[in-house]
Amino acid sequence: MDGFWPTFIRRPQTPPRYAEKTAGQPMTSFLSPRVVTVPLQETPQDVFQCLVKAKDEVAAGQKIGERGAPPFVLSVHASISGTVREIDTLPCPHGNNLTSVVIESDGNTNGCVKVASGRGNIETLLDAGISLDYEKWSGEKIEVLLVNATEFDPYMTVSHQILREKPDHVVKGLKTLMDSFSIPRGHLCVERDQVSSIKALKESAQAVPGVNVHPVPKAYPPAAEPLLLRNLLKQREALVPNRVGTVDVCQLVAVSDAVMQRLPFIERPITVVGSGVSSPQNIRVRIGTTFGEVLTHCGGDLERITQIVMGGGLTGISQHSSSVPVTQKTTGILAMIAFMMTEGHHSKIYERGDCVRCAKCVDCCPVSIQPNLIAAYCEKRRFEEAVQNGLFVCVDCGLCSYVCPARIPLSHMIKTAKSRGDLRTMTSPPGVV
Amino acid sequence: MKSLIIYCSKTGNTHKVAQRFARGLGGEADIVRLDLSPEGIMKEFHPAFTWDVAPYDLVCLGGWVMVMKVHPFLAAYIEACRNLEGKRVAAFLTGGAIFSRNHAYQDLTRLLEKRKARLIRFHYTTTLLGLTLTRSKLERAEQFGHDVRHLVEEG
Repeated sequence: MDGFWPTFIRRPQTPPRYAEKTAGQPMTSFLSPRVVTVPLQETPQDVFQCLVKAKDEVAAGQKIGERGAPPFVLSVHASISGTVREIDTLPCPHGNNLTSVVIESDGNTNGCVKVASGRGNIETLLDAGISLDYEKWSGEKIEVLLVNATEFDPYMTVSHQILREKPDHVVKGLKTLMDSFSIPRGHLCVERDQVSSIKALKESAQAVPGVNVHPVPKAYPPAAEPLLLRNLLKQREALVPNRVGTVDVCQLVAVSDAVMQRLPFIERPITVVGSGVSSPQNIRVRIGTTFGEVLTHCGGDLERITQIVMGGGLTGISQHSSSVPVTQKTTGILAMIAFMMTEGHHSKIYERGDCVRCAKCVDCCPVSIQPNLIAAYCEKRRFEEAVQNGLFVCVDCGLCSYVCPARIPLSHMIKTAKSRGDLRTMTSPPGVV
Repeated sequence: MKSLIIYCSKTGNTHKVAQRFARGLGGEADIVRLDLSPEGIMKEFHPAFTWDVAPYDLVCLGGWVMVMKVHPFLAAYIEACRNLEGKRVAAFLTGGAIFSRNHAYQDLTRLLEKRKARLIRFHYTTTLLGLTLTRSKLERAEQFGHDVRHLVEEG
């Protein structure tokens, strides 16, 4: 893809899946890290309370903190048994510094403290530390619970693996959530090529009224659930986000485990892949295990790896350190060996060029906005016009950067503009989408 | 003698030259072909790849000449690898035409001087997109490997 070919040959609009390395392999486990860093907050604004202090002994599954304001107080659990080393503000993979509890393992990996029984389902989920949108789901009338079980990012296969290994748990989790929040319908969207998973899910869902399994032709990015629902139900009013609840596949399994077996959400499966690790795999790790430890376990050499990304190649976030922990929302780690081309040897081919208005980004955009126009406005700091053209409609899928023949970092520019605090109050006009 | 042969090849000409060079060099050698995407990201895991050249007696760099300069990937490796100071380096470059030889040589020496590495031998093969990569040129590459081996063994 050198020279003029990127401009005049239509690249495929979606990148290759690169799924062959990890797809179909049985899931492995790495449940004995030396140190874990458990974040007590999800964003720096979260109200939290820490229930332990340094040098305390904790057991796996023991409650070490609380997050949020009443009535929905979410528990945070120690994911391994050991000693609390410190409580400090530490970096997390989403780019924030969060108050975290660092626990050193004592080597005991058997068993964990279970969640108290004999309470309602919602209380059990809060006790198990599953982060859902409780306030919205309880307060308003949610009509549809949507599960986007497609894998949009290249390299990531963890959702497919969960569906393949635990279709019953997924359906049970969905049923539990629908019963607890009295939601009449649940839609589970799976990519059409996952034939065996769809079959197993449909068999499990037969006995459960209200749960529908939908094979969808292509994957949708994690933030584009309203779009998915619109395409699914062929209804424009389905866009009203207040009546739709969305949930992750991994969370469904955690919900099912919490209600059936009283297990707290202290471990999750992630995909570890990339040219920096010798054995790419789907692996079950404790929440709070540092990226460095996971990569070393998968045959990676931290001396060699030059780029670590949380998530996949399109929507992932590049990390500046390997000491950030796996959180409940981490879907995978992409570790790569990247060559930074230097000044004087940076060929024009690889450099950023001017926009030639080829409109490839407009063609591929899943939410039908004009990324080149918005990025140009953002660059000129004309944010009002950017918002009017749908800056906040963007779902951060990253496809615009992928297809751009001029190598303009469109998605990065849009993401940076979106993170500005002073733009939060602006809303895009209704006719944009 | 333990040597590292690291090269980038796009159409396979440098790969052929590197194989013949490695045959001529003999001894214990780690051969790494840099298989990179245009953005400079390695596509596959390579067990022998390393940024640290300290354990090697000789570092052999190969690459193709792009717009009369050392290819950006090879240049990036030279700038980024560790412990190159004072190492013996042999280089073989391939290019479309003979007139880029001196430009590429100057660029390579500038890069290596910046890292204080010692370029002991240099070899340039004209390939013209593979049309002129003849058997005799490959034999010369093998001979170049022999020469480098002698130079290193003699000290």
